[in-house]
Amino acid sequence: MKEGPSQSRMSICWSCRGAVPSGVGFCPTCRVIQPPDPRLDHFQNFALEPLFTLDLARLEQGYRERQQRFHPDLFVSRGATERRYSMEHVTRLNEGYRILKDPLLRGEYLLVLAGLRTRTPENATPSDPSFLMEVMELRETLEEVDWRRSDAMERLGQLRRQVEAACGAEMAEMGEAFAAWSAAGDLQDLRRAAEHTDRLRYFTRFIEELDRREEMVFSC
Amino acid sequence: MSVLLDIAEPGQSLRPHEVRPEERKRVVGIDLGTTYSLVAAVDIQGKPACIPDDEGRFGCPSVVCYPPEGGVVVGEAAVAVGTRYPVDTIASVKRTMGRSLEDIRSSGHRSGYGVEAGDGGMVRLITSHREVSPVEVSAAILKYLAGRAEEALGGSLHGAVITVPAYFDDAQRQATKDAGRLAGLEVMRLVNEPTAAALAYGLDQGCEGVYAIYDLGGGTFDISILRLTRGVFQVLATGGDSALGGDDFDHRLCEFFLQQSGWDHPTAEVVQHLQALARQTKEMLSREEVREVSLSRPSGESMVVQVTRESLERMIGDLVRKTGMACRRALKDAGVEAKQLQGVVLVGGSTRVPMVQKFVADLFGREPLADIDPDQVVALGAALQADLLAGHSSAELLLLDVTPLSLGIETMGEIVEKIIARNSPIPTARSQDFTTFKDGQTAMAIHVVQGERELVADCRSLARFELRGIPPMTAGAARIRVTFQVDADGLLTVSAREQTTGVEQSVAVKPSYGLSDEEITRMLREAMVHGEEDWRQRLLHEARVESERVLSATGAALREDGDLLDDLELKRVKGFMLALWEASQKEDHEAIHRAREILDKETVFFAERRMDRSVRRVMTGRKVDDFQ
Repeated sequence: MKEGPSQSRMSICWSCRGAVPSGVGFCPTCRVIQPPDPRLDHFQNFALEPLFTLDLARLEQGYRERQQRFHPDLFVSRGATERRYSMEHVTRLNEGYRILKDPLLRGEYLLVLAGLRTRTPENATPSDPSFLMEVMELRETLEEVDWRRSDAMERLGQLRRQVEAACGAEMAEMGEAFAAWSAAGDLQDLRRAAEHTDRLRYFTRFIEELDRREEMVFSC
Repeated sequence: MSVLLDIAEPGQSLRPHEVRPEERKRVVGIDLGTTYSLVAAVDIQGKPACIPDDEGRFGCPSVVCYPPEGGVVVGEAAVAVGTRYPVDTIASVKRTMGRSLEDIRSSGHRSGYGVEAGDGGMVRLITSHREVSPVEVSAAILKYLAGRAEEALGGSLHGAVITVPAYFDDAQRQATKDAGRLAGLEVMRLVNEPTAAALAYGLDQGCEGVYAIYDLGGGTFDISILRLTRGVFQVLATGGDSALGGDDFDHRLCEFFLQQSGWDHPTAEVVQHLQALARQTKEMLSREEVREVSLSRPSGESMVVQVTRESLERMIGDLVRKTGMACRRALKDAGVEAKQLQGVVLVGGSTRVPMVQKFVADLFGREPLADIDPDQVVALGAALQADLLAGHSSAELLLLDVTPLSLGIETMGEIVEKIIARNSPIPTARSQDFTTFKDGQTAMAIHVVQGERELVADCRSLARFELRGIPPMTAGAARIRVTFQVDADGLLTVSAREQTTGVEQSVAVKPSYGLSDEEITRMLREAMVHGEEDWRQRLLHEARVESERVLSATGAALREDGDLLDDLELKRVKGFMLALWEASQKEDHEAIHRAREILDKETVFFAERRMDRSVRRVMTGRKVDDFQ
């Protein structure tokens, strides 16, 4: 992943046939928009380190800056090829933004980049039996909340705070494990990161369920 | 888009803001609302302003009348004739745009005209002597406003931005676009109403941060969470209800009136009258605590009913609270908490209702902003967007929009598999792999749907197509990758590809409710043939209707307060009335217009004297209602 500039990282401008370094988006000679480079991953597209711990403000800023250069609205008066490239850039940008912004998707994506998981999402189950017990208990607590009672919202809120704290703990573990993997390349660290990513997925689905319950309570 | 081509071609040195005045494109923003529609344009200084009609009114009632004697009447004039032809007068047509008969029936609305199922799932509106589609009715309103703008801007329009509720689905958007084309407009873009509103606020005030736009119009409710940062408007989430608005408040009150006055089977005339009365009463109750309303019973006798603001709030409370759910969901989707918001902007006439304002203040924990007229703000923002797209403005402003509803396909058991989640930034593309469920299956049906619900039946069907030529394999062995792609205009393309053979099939999703290109062409051709004559007829008809209104109003005033005039004055007024009546018998709409203006001018003193008298009457202790 940490490849220096080389011949393979150059391409030829479709418009003026000049040389274009990878990832710049516009031809240095004729300033015309270039197709997105499919070899770049989402982190590279945003010029971010491929780490779980990420400066969200930088992501947001990078997203806006790139939108201001590539957005289709800026190409309405250009030819069809330029308009298509603009759309391809922004489509990729939006996809990267969606994935990197979300801790769970970001973790899953890092596992794909590291080659541990495939692109098809799979429902990997955490191997730790005590974790499964914990999740089952949470489910039971959720089922016990009677949404017709006046304290339903408050009880759901308590449960939410509890699960959000658990998410925070998993994310801290993920940050640490991914950083260790990136620094030393020990597969053990990557497996640990995957384990915590799977736990985060459980908690995230749980929160989605909480959202649905809250809506139900709110609409009554 | 061809009209925009010559501004910023590569190599040309002219910067967008250096466009010379004579090269400015005549572009407008149109707020096509449920109850009122407005048109606005940006002036040379870059300030947007709504364009009024001859009488100085900005809002044009979204009412179209097809009188039995022919022609089309739009706006105030349609309202005026509407009482005479309730069956031929169509109001709130926006509610029927891109909707099926079941959608409309389930909303429980009453209308004078009939509604029937038409081709391709659309409805047809049935008047006493003809059928029209909602698209045609909307086109009539757009054409009227475009005409108003062309008069003000001094030439034909190059393009228009039309606003739609953020929550409009593909079918409703397509129908709106069709209406624009049918009206002969180059639709530069459909912009979401809340986004337009934020645009109007953002440019005027240069504020940054996260904002909620709470937009309760006549027929639709929208909530949008937007982030404004240095020239970028990023829609974080939208939500709402495309069948909830101030009209529903009117309907509740109207039902109450019907029940109080004992009507079981009211005529179209009665319903129309009571709806207007309900609307008026609702508006008054935004300023006053209590209103007395005079209703006529089926027997003909009249009765007086008292309505308090409190009782109105009881009638509409559940509707107002319903908006809270969508707000919560939007905040959640945006990943923002209410306390992180920089402000809440109110849009739409229905936000004038005190209960709505209080509800919004409680929900978001802050007093909402309402600096810009909530009725005009959407049109103003649309004009700004049109100006940007035409390349006039030097402001580097970008709108990053999202898909309002989830998009997916039908899978086994009529369950929806979502492929693009709601509130995804556009343009976007996502793929998902599917497989066959029978041994030797060689074709797969792809059913594209839009909506948030789990079951296909609860979502809106957008398109169906079939992927054929899958090589026979055991069940579950084939890998079929379905890709959804949404472009910057929000239009969806779906493709399916069998991975081992590369067999591919794709479809640009044309919502089943839209008009086909042939239909549009046919309607345009028909409109062209009759265009000029229609236009002249319409102006004439409107002038006649208006003169009739003025004559009957003046006549009534004379009967009531004629004693305020001396003989000579009375003679003069009657003379001007006669002149107007004579003009209205002829074919020259301008002459009618002039005669009406003279009558208006010459009766100003009479109106003033009547005003003095009624003030004196009130002073002597009688209720205002006694004069109505």
